Amino acid sequence: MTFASAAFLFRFLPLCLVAYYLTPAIRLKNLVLIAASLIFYAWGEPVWVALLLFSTAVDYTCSRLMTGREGRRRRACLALSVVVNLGLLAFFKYSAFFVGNLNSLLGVSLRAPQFALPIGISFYTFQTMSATLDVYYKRVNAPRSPLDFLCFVSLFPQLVAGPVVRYSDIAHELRDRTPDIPGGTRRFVVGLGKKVLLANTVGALADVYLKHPETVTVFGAWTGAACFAFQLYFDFSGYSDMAIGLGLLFGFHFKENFNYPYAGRSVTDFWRRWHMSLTTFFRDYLYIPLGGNRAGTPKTVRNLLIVWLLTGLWHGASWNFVLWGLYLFLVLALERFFLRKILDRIPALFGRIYMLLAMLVGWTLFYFTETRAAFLTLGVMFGAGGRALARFSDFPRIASHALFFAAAVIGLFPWAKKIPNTRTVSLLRALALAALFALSVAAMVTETFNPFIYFRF
Amino acid sequence: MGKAHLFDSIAAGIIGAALLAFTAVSLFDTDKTVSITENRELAPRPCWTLDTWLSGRFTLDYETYLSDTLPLRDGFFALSNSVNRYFKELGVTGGRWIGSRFLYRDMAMGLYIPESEAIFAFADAVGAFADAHPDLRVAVLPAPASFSFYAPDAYKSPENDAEGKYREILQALPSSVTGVDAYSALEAHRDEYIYFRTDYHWTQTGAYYAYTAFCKAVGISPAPLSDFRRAVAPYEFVGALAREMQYPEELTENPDYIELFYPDDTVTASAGDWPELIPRELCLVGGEISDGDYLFSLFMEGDHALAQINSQSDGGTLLVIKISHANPLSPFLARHYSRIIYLDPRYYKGSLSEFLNSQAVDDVLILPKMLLDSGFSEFLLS
Repeated sequence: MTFASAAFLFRFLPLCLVAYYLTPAIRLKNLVLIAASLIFYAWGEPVWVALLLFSTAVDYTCSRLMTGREGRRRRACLALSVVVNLGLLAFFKYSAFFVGNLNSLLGVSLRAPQFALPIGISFYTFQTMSATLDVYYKRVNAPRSPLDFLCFVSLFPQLVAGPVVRYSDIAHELRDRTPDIPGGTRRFVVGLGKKVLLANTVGALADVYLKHPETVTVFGAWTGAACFAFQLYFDFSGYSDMAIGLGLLFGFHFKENFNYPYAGRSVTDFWRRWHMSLTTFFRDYLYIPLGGNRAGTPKTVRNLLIVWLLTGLWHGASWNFVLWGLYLFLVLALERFFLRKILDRIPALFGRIYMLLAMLVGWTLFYFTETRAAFLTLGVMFGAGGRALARFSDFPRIASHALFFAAAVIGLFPWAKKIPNTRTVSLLRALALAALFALSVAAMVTETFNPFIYFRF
Repeated sequence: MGKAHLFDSIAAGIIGAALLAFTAVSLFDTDKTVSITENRELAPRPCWTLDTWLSGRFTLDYETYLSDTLPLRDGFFALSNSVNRYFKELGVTGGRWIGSRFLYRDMAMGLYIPESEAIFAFADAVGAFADAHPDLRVAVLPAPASFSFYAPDAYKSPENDAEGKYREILQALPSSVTGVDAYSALEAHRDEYIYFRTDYHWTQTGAYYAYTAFCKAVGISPAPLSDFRRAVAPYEFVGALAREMQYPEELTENPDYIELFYPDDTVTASAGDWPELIPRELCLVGGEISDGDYLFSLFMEGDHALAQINSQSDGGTLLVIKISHANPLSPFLARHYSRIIYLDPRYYKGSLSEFLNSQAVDDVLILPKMLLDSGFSEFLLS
């Protein structure tokens, strides 16, 4: 079930909210949330609920066993959690990729496991593992109640597409919290609008331009990449907004996941603002334990390479994601060791243009799971193959979306935050919110193009 | 509570109340079964079974059902179209997209672009059908939509290249069947009134050119159009495309007219609807029309699960597996076959192979919409 669906909006959410608000005590409320979350997950993944429960049980047990223990036993608990969670990921997400590559490399025909990727496995394995890691580093006490821990892991607002919420972030709210209904509603509706009005529209355009690398023009390839960049941002930040908004409706405060990344002045700055829950996860649990940037240049480069290759792989089990991670490593390393001084000196606008072009090249690698198509399109973007610069038919579609792009660009930058919060502005904002909700529902029930990109990770 | 917070609370209250109201109404109201606006049947409530749930079919069908039957759906449709007019279809040279439909000046156009998977699935299904019935001569005539004939070049792109897709379909067909190139036949007559401007269908003149392409492909001589008695129906026709586009003025102020070409007087026809299939007399062209009827029903009184046409011709029996585009072809085909059976997979719910076992058929004409809906392929394998 996705948040931008009639089943969620007109069945699951109202019934869940009514049941939750009518339930008196916090522990009972948690039980309502657990039941609702398991129904939410089982709606689309009836079989894989067992996997979710298994991962929860392992990390609850590991973190409990650590309490009062030190040394080898404590490390063994941590190792068990890491091995089980990464093992689940390796088996369910990467085994087919691994076997396929082994077959090509060695000329053998090993049989790859045949099953669909369990939805959200990349998110919830990281979340359960974060609890054990935080308990190991003594940042938080081990969860006492298994039901509270299950409530944290299964919490449907963040279960299938993040943000990667850490146990330490919301542990205290599992026992004491107050819902913020106006704030939660506002955030949810804004996210819904980003998803169904902006991401879906621009996503359909991206497909129009990028689906045919054999015939696309130079202008078409860049336009397609730009549309895909728009789509990814509005799709995923919209989903994060909805998740944060739903969290507020139940009294949970999830950390922000996006901070206007396209306002960044370099690729490094972009990544400080994009999918922050994942980048900080890799920073805190991988980059820093590996030594971060404190052990000299060669080790910093090695650590960056490991982090970005794994970030690429986390996004999907195919070579284009590995190449995407490698590309980002190269760009970020280049910025860290050479470009940073230049970028600091030139006007911000040039930095933004450079960042945008560099990211569009990256998103092109990200778009095509078939690397041949990715390189073909990248070649066209940079003039290889003697393609036409543009053909007239490239333009009407873009021109017909002129007002849409104007609205979308406004959504990329934090201009709205600068408007003073007067009574009139508040009234207009409330009216706009109600209108946005009506428009989003209208688009949701009438449009057919409605993918959620981050569901596949 | 500050005023700002008060407004936020009121907005949240309105949105929450709307959610609850829609949920309550959609839980307890009677589901609509047909959308007049979209000219289609709406999805029924799916039955839950363990198998459909585990396979994911149930959740997909339930989502479609809920979207289809949401209260005020037509209002949402109109709202969405009004917004799209400015945000997605701001015209630059007079043309605009309304969903997958295109409006240029006073002509609405449909666009059928099948996915490659649909082409392969269809070609496989046709091949399996032909292999299972080696004694039948099988021809395939996909019906294109009007976009590629009439849209200005500025709006054409590799992605909406219907001509290229048409060639792909013909090339994908197995050698055991005959592909009919109706596209070229229509293209050659694009200056004539071969497509309605407010509807998806070709006119009967357009159908005639598709018929000539069929004749050419199977090696028979087409009858000249002038052989058929002609009349113009006394109705103004504003078709399904106009309705789906919420009746733009350019279309309502310039309705279509319907040219009719009648069959020979000796031709008789009957039709039956699923599941009884009890035959009743059928008027092939120009039957009675009531207020509010869809005027393309002037041909064969609309679509039926099963229809049969008998003529004095010397030819054998032709089975036409079809969509509504085939209806205006019937007077022309009756010149060559003594018996023509029309089967419509959207309404005929029985097995095709069982049907063929009970009938003596010589030739088969498969006439799908160029989109190649999966239902058509499934029917060929049934």
